[in-house]
Amino acid sequence: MISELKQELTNMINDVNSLNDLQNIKVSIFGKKGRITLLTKDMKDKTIEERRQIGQEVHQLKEYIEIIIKQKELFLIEKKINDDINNEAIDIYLPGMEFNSGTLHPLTITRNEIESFFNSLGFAVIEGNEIESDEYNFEKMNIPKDHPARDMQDTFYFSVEELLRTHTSPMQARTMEANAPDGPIRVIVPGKTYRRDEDDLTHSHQFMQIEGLVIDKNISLADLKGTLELFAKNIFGSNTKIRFRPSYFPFTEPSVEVDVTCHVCHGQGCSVCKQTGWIEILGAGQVHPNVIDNCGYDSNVYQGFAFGMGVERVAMIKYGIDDIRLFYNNNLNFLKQFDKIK
Amino acid sequence: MIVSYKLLNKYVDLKGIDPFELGDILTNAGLEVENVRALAQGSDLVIGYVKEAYPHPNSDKLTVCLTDVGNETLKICCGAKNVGQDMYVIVARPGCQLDYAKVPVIKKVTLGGVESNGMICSLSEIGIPSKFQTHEQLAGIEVLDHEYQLGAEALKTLGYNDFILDISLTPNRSDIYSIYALAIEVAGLLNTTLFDVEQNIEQKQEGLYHINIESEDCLSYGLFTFTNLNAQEGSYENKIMLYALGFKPRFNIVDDGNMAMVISGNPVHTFDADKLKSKKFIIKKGLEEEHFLALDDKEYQITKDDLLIINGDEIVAIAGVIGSKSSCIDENTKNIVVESAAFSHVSVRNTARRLDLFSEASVRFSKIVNSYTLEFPIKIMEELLNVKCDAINKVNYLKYEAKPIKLTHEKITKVLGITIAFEECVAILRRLSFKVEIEDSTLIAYPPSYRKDVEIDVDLIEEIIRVYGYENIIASLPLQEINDHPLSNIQTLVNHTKKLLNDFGLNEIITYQLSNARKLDQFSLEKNYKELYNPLNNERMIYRDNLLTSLVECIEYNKSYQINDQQLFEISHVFVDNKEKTYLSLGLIGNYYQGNWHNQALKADFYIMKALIFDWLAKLGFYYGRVLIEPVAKDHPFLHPKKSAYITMNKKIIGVFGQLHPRLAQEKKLNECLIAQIDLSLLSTNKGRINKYEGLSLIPSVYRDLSLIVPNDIYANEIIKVVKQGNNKLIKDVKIFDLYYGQELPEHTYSMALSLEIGNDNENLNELEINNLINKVLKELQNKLNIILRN
Ligand SMILES: [Zn+2]
Repeated sequence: MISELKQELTNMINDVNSLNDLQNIKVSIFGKKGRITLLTKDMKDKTIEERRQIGQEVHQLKEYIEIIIKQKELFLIEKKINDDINNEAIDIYLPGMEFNSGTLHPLTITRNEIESFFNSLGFAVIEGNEIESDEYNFEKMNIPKDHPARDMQDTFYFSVEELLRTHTSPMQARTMEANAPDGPIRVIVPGKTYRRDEDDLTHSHQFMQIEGLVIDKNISLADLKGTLELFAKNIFGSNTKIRFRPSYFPFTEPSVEVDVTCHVCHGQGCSVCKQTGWIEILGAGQVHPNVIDNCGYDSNVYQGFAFGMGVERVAMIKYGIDDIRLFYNNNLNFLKQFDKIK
Repeated sequence: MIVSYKLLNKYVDLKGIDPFELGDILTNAGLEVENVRALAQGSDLVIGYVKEAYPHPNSDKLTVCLTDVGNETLKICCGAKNVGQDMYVIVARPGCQLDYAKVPVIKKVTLGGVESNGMICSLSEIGIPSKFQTHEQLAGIEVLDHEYQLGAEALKTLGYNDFILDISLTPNRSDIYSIYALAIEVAGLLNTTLFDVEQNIEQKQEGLYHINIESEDCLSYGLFTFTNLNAQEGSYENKIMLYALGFKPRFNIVDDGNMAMVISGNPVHTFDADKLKSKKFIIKKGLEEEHFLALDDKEYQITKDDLLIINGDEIVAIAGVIGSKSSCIDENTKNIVVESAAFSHVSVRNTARRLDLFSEASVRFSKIVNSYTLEFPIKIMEELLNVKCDAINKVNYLKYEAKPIKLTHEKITKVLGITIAFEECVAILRRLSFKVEIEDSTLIAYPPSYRKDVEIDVDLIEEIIRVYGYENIIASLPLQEINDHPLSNIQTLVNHTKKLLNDFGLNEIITYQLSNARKLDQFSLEKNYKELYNPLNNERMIYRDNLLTSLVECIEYNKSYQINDQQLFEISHVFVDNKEKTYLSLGLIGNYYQGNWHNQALKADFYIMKALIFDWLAKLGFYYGRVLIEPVAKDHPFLHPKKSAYITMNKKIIGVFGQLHPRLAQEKKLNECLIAQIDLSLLSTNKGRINKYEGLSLIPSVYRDLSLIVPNDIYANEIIKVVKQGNNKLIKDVKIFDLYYGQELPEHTYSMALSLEIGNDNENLNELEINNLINKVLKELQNKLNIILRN
């Protein structure tokens, strides 16, 4: 009789398909009026021996049924999780939430890169005013009145004495004066500068310049070359080479134009570098003794180098931009193209 | 500067170096060669002779020419009107490449049933620019002036086998405006022979003229008389040289003057001696209101700044710029007076610029010409005209005495950072025509008269290194003690601000600093403008005093590209209160967050702008309380009067923000555009508070929500102030989580729902304590602000 019941209950449990039904079966077996509970109800007319016999069998049955219920339960839980997972399937190709990610202007990105390179070499970053005096923009930089380099065509004036700086060099003079007569100098000066030019593909009346100045007793042209070689590798890639070409600036002597190997053709010649393999990137040289003397140092003892580069030009080369005016149009579709680039 | 390779080769041995290589050498030495090109183009061109010419049987326009090219006679159909029998011509045979011809590759063709075996060339077809040609040359084929060997290579035989180098000169090297000075340079660079030429002319008899210099701007002045000349066409070879140098050939006196100028670098001006009314020359400054009819048939107004050449009482030239119509030479001229002079380059430059008269002469005079070689062009003219100068009048002709420049070997090494053998330094300078004396390891250099740019020792070092080669410098890094130089407050503030606003999803813009009053007026507070006196155009005349003008312009611009959601900022200098300051501008329009299938868009409004500003400030350590929002004291014409506010700190206004005024919004079609402008210079005078650890409470807060009925004229700040007052220890935070306006509320009220965070860091509060606190808050709200609990 117990074995029949065991078979019946086992079949019942096997046939169950939900946790809910299993719970109901559990009650029908072990509840107050459960099938197993009832087995031990009418034992008054049984002998002690019989009672023990039945008790033992019922106990074994109970244990057995509990185990298979537990197994069934675990099976059904696992089944439910799997069913639920399948019902919770989503379309992973739907777009996620759209965050606003802001962008820095490409000129700022380029400027930051240049600044952090020179920072790592121990250059301080200083800035100055854009409205400057004739004295600091020109006179102290060894560009006297009537010098062709200060042609009225090129400079925006507010008055005879006041102008929009044409380069960041006035800060060279101001920095030297602040450190004269014997303080060592190692600075870069980023900032907006102005030329009285019509805007076109390659000219902008407003542009951004970064100027560098190192002054001490033994700072040589070879040091300039080493510094700019590192700079070029850092900004344009580790294979970049530089070359010096003689040039002329009133505030440096010797003066050089500095070219870097074309990043497109790596020196083989292409349309970007006009088949030369080289791209002009900045002007530099040893600070002219007149400038050093003008700013409170003794040029017989102190010397050093200076360089100046256009941030637009560096950015145009790096990103392959062909129209300088794009920087100042601020079309958002343009501005948002640069945030992914280091 | 245009240079003929052939002409240069007359003065320096180019050792057969090809023109392109020469171009590279010059560029590497600092004389940037922008372009090297052949004077004429065409492969396999030969000299031919038209033995017979007869009209084409089927075409009015063509002539059939039987042309002898030495080894054969070619039948050529030629379309030029000027072609005819017994002419020497330039012939392109089939297979010939002619880049400038209409059909660049010449082929055997049949024209109107007659075969044509090549082409007879015009000057244009071999690449001579039309501006140098006569009407006849432009209208037809080039007819050669005399006999040549038939079949000979045409370009070489005629002298067209020249190359033109276009050199862009830096201002210090204006000496190179002389072919001879370039020859000196090239001789140094190639270490080759410079052909010495006589630059002075024999002492002649005193001329008939009397010269009186009455202005400091005339440094030297000489008049050289030539008599009994024949004005005539120059030789074919000379004409070709003029094409190469960029001149249109005219007649010998003019052409030779131009050649003399190009070679010597000293411009000359030639008067027709018979047209001069007086023997008396005065060089002086002009008078206002004077007029002058120049040889270009134009009348020019003279000012007191112009230097004039006066003959008798007639102006015969504006010094260095242009001569008069009345004294100029022509094809009938027999006797000439040639002026060779040195003027102040500043004076000539200013006059040339004012009159917009830039000729080969005035361009040279606008730089510093070599005032020690004034006889050189006359010497060249003598040779070219094949006539000796008769008489000379000269004033202040100076003999060149070079100034010595001392340079030690130690200095060379110190400046360059590499060691170049002393002997090599000396040799380089000598190759460049410097005279050099040596004392131990010091050299004393005497520059040639052309090299006015070499004045001090470092100038000599530059000469040495540019010839030695910059590529030979071994790179090193500067060694020095470096002092710590932290960023200034404003630099730090700007850097942090860019980073933070970037994180908030704003896009940085950089706009022009120069604007105009019409635009600035709309957003300017003071309208006290910093104005340029030489603006380039009407758009850019003023250094801006605000950033909002360009910000709104930029928003409009992007709108025009259908970019409707914009979040912008700019940090830039402006000129306000008579000084340069750093401002920040912010602009929002459209959605601040894009919506999509997943979440709703968040439209930019006053409160988003407010949050941006005050979150940014808080992150900089300027917490609310130190910075405050305050109502605007006066209406700003560019801001919505009811949706705008000041940002203040220490009772000073550091910025203003709000919605663009509806009037401007309508005009610019920018609905619900939010703008802000903040004075970073002023903000940077304060230090942001640095966070300190405040301890960590382990006792959880409890939260209670209150729904209140608030009179319409009570603002949020007052309510929060009352809630926090007196209970500030226990009420940790107050959030306004809902506002409600509804008919069922009492008149002139609205409903505000607050969530209070209540807690005591030391012990748990019991229900009674919390209820007592809430009741106290409610009582104060009722007493002070007439606010009651809803329901
Ligand atoms: Zn390339």
